[in-house]
Amino acid sequence: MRILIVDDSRIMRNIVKNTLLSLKYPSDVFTEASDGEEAFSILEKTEISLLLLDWNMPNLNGLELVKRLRSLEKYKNLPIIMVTSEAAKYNIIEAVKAGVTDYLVKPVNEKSLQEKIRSAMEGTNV
Amino acid sequence: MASRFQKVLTNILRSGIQTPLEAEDEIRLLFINSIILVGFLALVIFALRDFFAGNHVYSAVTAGLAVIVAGLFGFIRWTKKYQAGLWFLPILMAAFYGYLAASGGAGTSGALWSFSYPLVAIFLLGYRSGGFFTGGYVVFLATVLFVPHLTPAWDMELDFKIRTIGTYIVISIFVVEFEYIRVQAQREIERGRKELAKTTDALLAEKTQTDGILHNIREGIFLVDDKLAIVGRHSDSLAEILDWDEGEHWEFSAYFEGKLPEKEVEALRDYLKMYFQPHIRSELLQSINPLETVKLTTPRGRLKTLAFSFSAINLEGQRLILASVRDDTLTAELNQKLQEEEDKAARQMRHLFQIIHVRPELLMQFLEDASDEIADINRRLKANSQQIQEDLMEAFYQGVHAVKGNAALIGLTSFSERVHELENLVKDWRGKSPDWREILTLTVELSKIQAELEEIQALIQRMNTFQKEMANNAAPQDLVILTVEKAVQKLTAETGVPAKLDLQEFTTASLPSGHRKLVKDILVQFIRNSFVHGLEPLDERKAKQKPPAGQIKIICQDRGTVLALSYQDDGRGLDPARLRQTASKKALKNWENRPDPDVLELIFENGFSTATEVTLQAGRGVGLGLVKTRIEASGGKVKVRSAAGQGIAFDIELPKG
Amino acid sequence: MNIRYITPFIDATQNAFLELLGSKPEALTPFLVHREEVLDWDISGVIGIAGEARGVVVLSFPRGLAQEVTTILTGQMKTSVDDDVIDTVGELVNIIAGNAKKGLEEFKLMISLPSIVQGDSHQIGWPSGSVPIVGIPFTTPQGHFNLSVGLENIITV
Repeated sequence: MRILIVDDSRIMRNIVKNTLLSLKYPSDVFTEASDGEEAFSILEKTEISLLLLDWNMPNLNGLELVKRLRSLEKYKNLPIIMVTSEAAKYNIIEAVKAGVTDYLVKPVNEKSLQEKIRSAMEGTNV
Repeated sequence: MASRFQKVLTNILRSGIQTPLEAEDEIRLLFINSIILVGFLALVIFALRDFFAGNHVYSAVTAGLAVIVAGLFGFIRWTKKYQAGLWFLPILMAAFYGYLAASGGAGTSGALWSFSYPLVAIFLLGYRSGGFFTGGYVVFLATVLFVPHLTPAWDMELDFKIRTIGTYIVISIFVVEFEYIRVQAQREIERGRKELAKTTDALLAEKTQTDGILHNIREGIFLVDDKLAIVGRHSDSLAEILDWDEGEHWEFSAYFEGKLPEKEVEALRDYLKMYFQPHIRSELLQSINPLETVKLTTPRGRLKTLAFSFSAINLEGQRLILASVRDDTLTAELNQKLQEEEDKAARQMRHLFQIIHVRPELLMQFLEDASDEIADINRRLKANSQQIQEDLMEAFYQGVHAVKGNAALIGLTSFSERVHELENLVKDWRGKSPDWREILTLTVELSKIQAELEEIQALIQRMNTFQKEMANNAAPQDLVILTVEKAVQKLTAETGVPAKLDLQEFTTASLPSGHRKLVKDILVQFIRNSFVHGLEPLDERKAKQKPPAGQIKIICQDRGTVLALSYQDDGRGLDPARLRQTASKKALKNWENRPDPDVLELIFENGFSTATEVTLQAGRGVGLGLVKTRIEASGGKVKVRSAAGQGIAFDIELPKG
Repeated sequence: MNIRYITPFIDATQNAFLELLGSKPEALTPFLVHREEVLDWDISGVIGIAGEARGVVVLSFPRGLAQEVTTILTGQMKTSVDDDVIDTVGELVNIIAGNAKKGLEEFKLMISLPSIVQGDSHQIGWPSGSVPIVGIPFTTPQGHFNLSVGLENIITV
């Protein structure tokens, strides 16, 4: 089990991480990236079982990363939860169409994060 | 033909009973009538044979039996009491077969008839009662066969006797067994049938209900398949809500083509297709429904607001979208109205630009003053966040009122109306402490007025640049005097009351620049007051032997430390009696016994006005109150003098510097 | 400017603070903000809005409150405006702008990455034209902060 948290805000990555820690996730499963390009290179090198991804980021943004990942056979079934402040419906439709497994609007709420991770991980053997 | 024969046969066999019976009774009824018919025919044939063979006794007995059987048929048909026949027939047959067996017949073969008795008895009466009759009959048969010389049947050979009884018993056992199994099977079938009927009834009831729902509900309910086509039945209101009846099977998303932007229709298709991907969570799908509320023009040209909701269902192994739509047009209309009002305001704004014939200096002055007023209101709004200001709404109101009045005065009618609307909003909050949400509404309205002012300012600036290039060097005129003259001119035109302005003792040279705006505002308010309350129409003035034109005189004197300003008109003046009356109507206390000069001060009370009609010019009751507040705020004082019928005078002292 | 364009931002602000810091800030009397106004605040997070409406959202804090909010979020005591404080202010305005889009779905909007303006008296580069800007002060147990919204529908009917 390895969770990759991608957000340009370090504070936000910490908030997500702390939320997961309080949900009893072990502290050694987290890997962090601050933009899409960095996340992609980590994915290439490391076996990742869940991707928590921000949308608005410099370099490669979250949506572009999802499109790139889903075009590759290797990442077809990678659980991706987009964690973003973008709350408009047309944004969520765009993201789901691009292939995110689920979508979570910031600020992150412990209960919905847990619920979404659980359902996103269903069917994967982690 | 066949069906007719069938009908007649059925009618005979069922004794003319039309109503359906329990399965068991049905079988017995058919059986008893069948036996009666077959038995009757057989008896008739035997009777005829015996008759022609010369056996007249046999013939008579057989014919008699045939008559009895026919009578039984008639009895059952007549009384419908087939149960009686069920008991009667086995007894009759027992007697008949017993007679045949006992009497021996040819080679003692009469006993052979007995083999059919278990069939008749048990099939007619069931294995219990029928078994009893069968058992009784075998005892009788054994008696006639084995008791020596009792009946002619004794003559049968012993082997035959044993085989006859044996066969009878075997047949009996098989029949009882068969009947038992048949009855059990019948019960089983019956139970199944009843359950089936129950389920069918329930389904029928459900269908009736569904039909009712689909017919009656106000929501449109329909199914969409993976080709995004509407399939199967849908509620009657769907056509009405969508304002479109294409019958069944049309593409749902196509309905929105041309009604929504192409991008949105595309997003809708993407969205609906997501329902056919079971891995996407339904909560997520529900939360991003792009048709949750949608405004569109229907094919028949009606503007509607519709609210759709979707959910995925599995129907007979096929995944479908169960969709419902509600007409929210009425709720949306309210919002629509708000929007329209806003558009109207924008149009007025455009008109405003077209009707600027106002003198540029006046306009500039107005803009500056209005900006000051708004800035002042805003200062108070900001201060209110730090500390609650008791009189915030009163100040807001007075500021807005002043802007409105000034706008009306210089002829910015549509702008003035716009501010008037805000004034109406603020009016309701006077003396109250609205919370931030309500103030937000007022602030946003104020921001719109400020934006319009800024637009006018930008326009003036461009005009100014233009004018400068024209190099017009006309001598600058005093703005206070100009404003006052303009006010009299405008109000004369509006009220039809002619007036003459006397400014001979009014010089603005000694006016400290800090007071110029104040003095101008005060004078404008007094002038407005004269026209609305003081100066009489022409006829009235003639009757009172006053000069036709109303006289307005403004005097300004420099008295060293103070500036004395006096304003006079020769109108109706103030009537203390009427002021007292108004005071008591407004529930203001303790004015009844005060002396006249004190009572005159009432006109400075906020909210006190004796004008019955509210117009943009006066009658709002804030004008003179505002004047007094302002004068006192700048350290001055104001007095009113009046002689009823002869005019009014305001004496003001303002500190210099 | 329409009041419907402002309330989503207010709701988003209150919700973001409630979720992240556990208490809902109270709105105070709103006022008008001048385009050239110099802000009395120490640090502001700015997000531009583009698309079918355009405008700017500004979230302004006094230094102390910004530090305190960051302390609550990171669990590390902040005594100066460091990268974490800047990050926090940026993320907050990002959440507010992003969340507010939900209430403004009549427009397709795009929001920029947040930028931070600092200094005792700083000015914001508001869009030109006559977009009115409304300021909404908020109060929290830790102090006041301010949200300014200027949003204009650029679709002409």
